[in-house]
Amino acid sequence: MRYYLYKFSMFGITLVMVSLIIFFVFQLLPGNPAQIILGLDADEQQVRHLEQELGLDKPAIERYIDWIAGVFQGDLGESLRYQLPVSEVLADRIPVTTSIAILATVLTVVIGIPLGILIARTDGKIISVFLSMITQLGISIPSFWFGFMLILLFSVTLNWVTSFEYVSWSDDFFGALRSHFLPSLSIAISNIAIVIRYLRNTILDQRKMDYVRTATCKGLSERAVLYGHVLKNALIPVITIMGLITADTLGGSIIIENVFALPGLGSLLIQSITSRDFPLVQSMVLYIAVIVLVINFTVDLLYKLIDPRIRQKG
Amino acid sequence: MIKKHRLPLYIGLTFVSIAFIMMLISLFYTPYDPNAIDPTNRLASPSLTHLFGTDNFGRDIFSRVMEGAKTAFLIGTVAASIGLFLGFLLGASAGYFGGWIDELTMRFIDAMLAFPGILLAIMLIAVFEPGMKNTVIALGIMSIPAFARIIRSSFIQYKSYDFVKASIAKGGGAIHIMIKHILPNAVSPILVAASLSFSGSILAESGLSYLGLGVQPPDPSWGRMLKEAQPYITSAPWYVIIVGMVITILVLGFNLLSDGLRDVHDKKA
Amino acid sequence: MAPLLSVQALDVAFQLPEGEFLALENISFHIYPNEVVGIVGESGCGKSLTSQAIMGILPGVASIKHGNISFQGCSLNDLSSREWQELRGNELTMIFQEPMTSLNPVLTIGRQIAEVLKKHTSLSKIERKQQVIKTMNEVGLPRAEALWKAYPHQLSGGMRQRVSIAMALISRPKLMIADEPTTALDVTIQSQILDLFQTIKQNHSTSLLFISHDLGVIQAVCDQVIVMYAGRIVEQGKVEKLISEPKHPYTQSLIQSIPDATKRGQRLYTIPGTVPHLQERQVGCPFSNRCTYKLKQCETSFPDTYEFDDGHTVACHLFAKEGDGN
Repeated sequence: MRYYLYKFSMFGITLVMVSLIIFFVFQLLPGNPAQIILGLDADEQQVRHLEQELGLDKPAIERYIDWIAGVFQGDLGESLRYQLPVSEVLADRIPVTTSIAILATVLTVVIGIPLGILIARTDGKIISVFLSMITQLGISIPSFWFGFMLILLFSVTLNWVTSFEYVSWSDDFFGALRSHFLPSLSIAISNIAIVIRYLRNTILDQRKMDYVRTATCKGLSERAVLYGHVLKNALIPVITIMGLITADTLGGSIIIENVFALPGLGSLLIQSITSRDFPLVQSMVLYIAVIVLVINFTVDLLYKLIDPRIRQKG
Repeated sequence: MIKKHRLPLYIGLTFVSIAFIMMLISLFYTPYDPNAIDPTNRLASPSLTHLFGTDNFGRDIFSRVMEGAKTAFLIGTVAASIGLFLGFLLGASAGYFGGWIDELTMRFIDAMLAFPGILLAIMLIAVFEPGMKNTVIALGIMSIPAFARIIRSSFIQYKSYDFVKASIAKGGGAIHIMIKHILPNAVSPILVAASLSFSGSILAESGLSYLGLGVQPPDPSWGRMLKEAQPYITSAPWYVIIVGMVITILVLGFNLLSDGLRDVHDKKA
Repeated sequence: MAPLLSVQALDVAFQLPEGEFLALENISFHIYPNEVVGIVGESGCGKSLTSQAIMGILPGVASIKHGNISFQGCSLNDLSSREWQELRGNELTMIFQEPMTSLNPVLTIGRQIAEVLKKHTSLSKIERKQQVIKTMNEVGLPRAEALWKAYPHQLSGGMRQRVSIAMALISRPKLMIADEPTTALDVTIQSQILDLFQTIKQNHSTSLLFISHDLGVIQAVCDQVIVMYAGRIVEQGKVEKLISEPKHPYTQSLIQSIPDATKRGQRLYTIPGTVPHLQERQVGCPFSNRCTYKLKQCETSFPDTYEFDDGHTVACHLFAKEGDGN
């Protein structure tokens, strides 16, 4: 119980730090923010009006507290460009990015884990070196360029996909799946490589353990030892990196949405930066960072629940 | 222990060296002026006269790739230096002093890691304007956590060693002990992290520049070349393919290098 | 009576980067039904390797070069992996030294024991559980119902070793191999586990191959003893005879180093020197450089095996001219 209390308070401290970092960075906007937002040709009255609206006339600490209090009440401020509450602007965009992130995570698990297991069964030295380099290649490819290559392959070479227009889930399920698939795969490719490398290493490490010898001496086949004994031990550490991977897909989505012209948070973020819609940018960054922290925190707790060695201590 | 394969290390070194030599040559010589526009020869496919073909303005892609190597190495070096310097300050004090300083520093690192991918860099650039200088600073800040963590764990490990304890007993000051005794022993993991930081920064720069938030013209950048190439993906696919492959090869080179360095280090330990 | 297990002229070699080395040389012995045989020797003598050869779990770099192992009259040398799976855990079982690591940390105790029955019998799930609980009681595990759902880390070392014994016993094997089963335990727990082996010996018709570096432990449970040194059998015989009248100088030193009440207050004897490493073994008797009775021929040739009454054998040049060389 004390353990969970500790974990919760650490999570709280990290949350506060994240919000402070974001607030601090946006405080550093050079010059008068209202002036920058409105442009140089705005008159003084307009600037003063906007300053008041943004609360820029108050001291920094008060503004930080106002901001956080607003966030807790679901008020993320107002988008300058859309003239709408930020939460409303985000509401349309979140499902797109969430779908991409979930699909990319699913692809990572569905492709990465079986391949990792398969590859762990080959332990020749030359093959190991070769596989290690192939997975390194997967990690080294820029995801957006991999997206380009997928577009080239599927639309130009194979002529399977004719348009990359966004289709929403409610309009046409399979159409939506198709429009989300290539972006998700582009993000997933490096994570698949990471999962393969990691899982293969943990399986090879676990295979050297004494309990494997015990299981063999019970008369179990190599397969039964792998699936019944080794895999359970090897997958537990993989869960910890799954949190990082899921978080990473959100980061990957920022670029990929721009490649495939998907109306998600990523494309909105870049548009907002270009149009200097800072309240929107600030809230979006906070939103993404908080989601990442929540994912990692959940995975951390989940890990403790799954590993019996830690579960019983708690 | 059976001897580990050095092949990845050598391949990594080869890739990085080729790019490095290309960059050095570009300081004195490029086959064409990288910015010379030739409207009569737009999007020419690779040939003996234009090794990598020409872009939408008829500029020689090979020369522009050579130029781009300068940016890649500059960004990699400066970002790694910034990351190492600040990461060292954070990691060393956390590892050396422990206690609440460590706890607080680690929470700060956790907070930085809450910005997935290039989000931290995007946020910084959104506020401070795109461009070479700010890109480098943003990527340097982004690579702090990796350095800080590695340096922290080296410090925690070596702090318990007898030679460090002996030095503390003799009354050596904290900074003296850090630099004189602990740092030399942490060199190998730092090299591994630096190599990883190079590949991470190059990859991140290409992403930022592709989004238009990184290096701005006239500074050359592989990421921006990809952005310019994207509209011609069907009419001039080699443009996209070649530039992406160049980025991949250099990033792969640094990744293999860090992998190989880690193997060499593990074997020594 | 036909032996249950026969090992005949077994050579096991290690394939190392420096070349091939014989880790076991000319190992021959028999285990009869209901017999408890001990193998004793310092670490590095090839005791564990012998048991691994019998179980067919030699490490990747080791292989049988020569000789034969047969179990219930059939040779184990060229068993298919399927035949091995039928045999292991069923008629031939093994208990390992490290109770901390030899159980799977993420599976429950009940499941790990029941797994043996699942593999080798057609019992239903409920029958398996009944059988497991019965065996757990038999090996002295209290509150078997509660332990069924426990994980290895929740048990003490002694209890874990009892779990290992239950796993090896539950299929009513013909032969159980115990490789240093008490070495990692506290002295008091050690004697409890030895008592458990005594009970098993009385209540079951199981043969036991008991491996230990401690002749005192061997004395407590075994009928027959094999003394190994540097990959060779140097002496074997009935346990009382071997301890009361040890022939080989190495056996004599081992006996001297057993702590007992009559030696109280004295400094315990330790054999000077160490077992030569695999790569350092030379021609001649490997014990010669630590032996106080060393003869000239000890450095040039490995002695023949000389036989005495009751199947007591010794491999030492001191016995070359029939009879007592001391």
